[in-house]
Amino acid sequence: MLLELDPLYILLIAIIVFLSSYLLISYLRESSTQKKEEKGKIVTVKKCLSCNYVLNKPYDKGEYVGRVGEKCPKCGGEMMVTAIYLETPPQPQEAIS
Amino acid sequence: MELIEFEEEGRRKSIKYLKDMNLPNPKTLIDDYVDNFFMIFPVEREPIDVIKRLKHLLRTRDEAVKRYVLDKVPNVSEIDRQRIEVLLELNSVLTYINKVVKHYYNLGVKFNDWIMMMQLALQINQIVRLAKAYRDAIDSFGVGAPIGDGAGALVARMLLGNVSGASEIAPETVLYETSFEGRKLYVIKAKGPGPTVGWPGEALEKLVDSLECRISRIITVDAALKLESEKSGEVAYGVGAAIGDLGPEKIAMERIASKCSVPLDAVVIKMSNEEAINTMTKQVYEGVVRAADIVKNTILSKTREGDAVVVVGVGNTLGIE
Repeated sequence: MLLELDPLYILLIAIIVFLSSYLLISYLRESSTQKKEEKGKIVTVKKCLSCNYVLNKPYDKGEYVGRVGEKCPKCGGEMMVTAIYLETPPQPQEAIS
Repeated sequence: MELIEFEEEGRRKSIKYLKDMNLPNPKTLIDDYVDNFFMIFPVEREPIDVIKRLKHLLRTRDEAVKRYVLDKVPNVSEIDRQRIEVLLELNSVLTYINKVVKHYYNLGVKFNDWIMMMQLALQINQIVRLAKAYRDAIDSFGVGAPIGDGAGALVARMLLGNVSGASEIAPETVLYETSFEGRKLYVIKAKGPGPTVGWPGEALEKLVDSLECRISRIITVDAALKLESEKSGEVAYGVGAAIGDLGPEKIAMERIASKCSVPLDAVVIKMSNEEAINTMTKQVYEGVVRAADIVKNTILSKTREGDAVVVVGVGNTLGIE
């Protein structure tokens, strides 16, 4: 069947396949880069005011540094939010330091 | 094109956050704000009382924005009011950047001015980077976690431990009293956890005046823009008032320190412009921890037991009480 096709058609199909795969790869590469940029999670650090137990957990909306309220899972004492920060993967070094 | 997308995306996100706060007509709230509420700077050719005039204009504008939000949304809480103000300001900045770029582009096309076009082309990457930072900041302020600019406020918070019970010494600015290794410690910061910077200069002036200059040292802590070769979270210390305002707050700090002959120290935590207005990164947080240690060491090495020390944590206190 393939042998019966005009060589021009084969060339046209090859170009279409090449272009579509190029576009697909570019799209995938771009979306993966965007995902990389967005990656990162906000961490809340809580410390027990009685036994100094430290708990790291994902940030919940409404939390703020200095907030006291939750009970310590170890001693039952009060826990205070001591830090909230964004953990991001290390970025490639581009500048001369 | 990218700048238009940033502006529109910023607008969409802000409307979403404002809707989440149950605000009626968030679109009108933003549209009526953008382009308005500009401030004309005072005449500098006549320098007499220029700081006083600038302070008056800044306060007037601040009050006008506050009144605008309260008129549109009368029963809003203080924290939500501050969040709305910041979202309006961010949208205003994005629109302004977009307008300025379009202005120079249109001028270049109109007069066939290729020098203007080349200048714009060479600067556009930096401008896009700046606009992107402002667009992302809308999310950061919507989330409510501390931002990089809050580094100074976080250092102040760290010195307090679990101390509570602050008094409002100036508008949206609080004073905590505690002790550290036998020294009386006064800590000034903006009133959190809403997104405000307060008036730390005025607060310091009032405190030192009320103590009749009986202060051994004033330590100011703030976020500072890093150079590209510097690492985020680097900490540096020196002398002077670490504050990046337009002038009135900084000069208030300098004046009261010189009036009472009190040494004025500065500790800064370095970060990029993007990091300053977005959720605080771990690198910046680690810098905050180092800065708090430097402040403690300064107090121990440069003051004696029984002395009184003031620490001013400058910056936006979003997510920090």
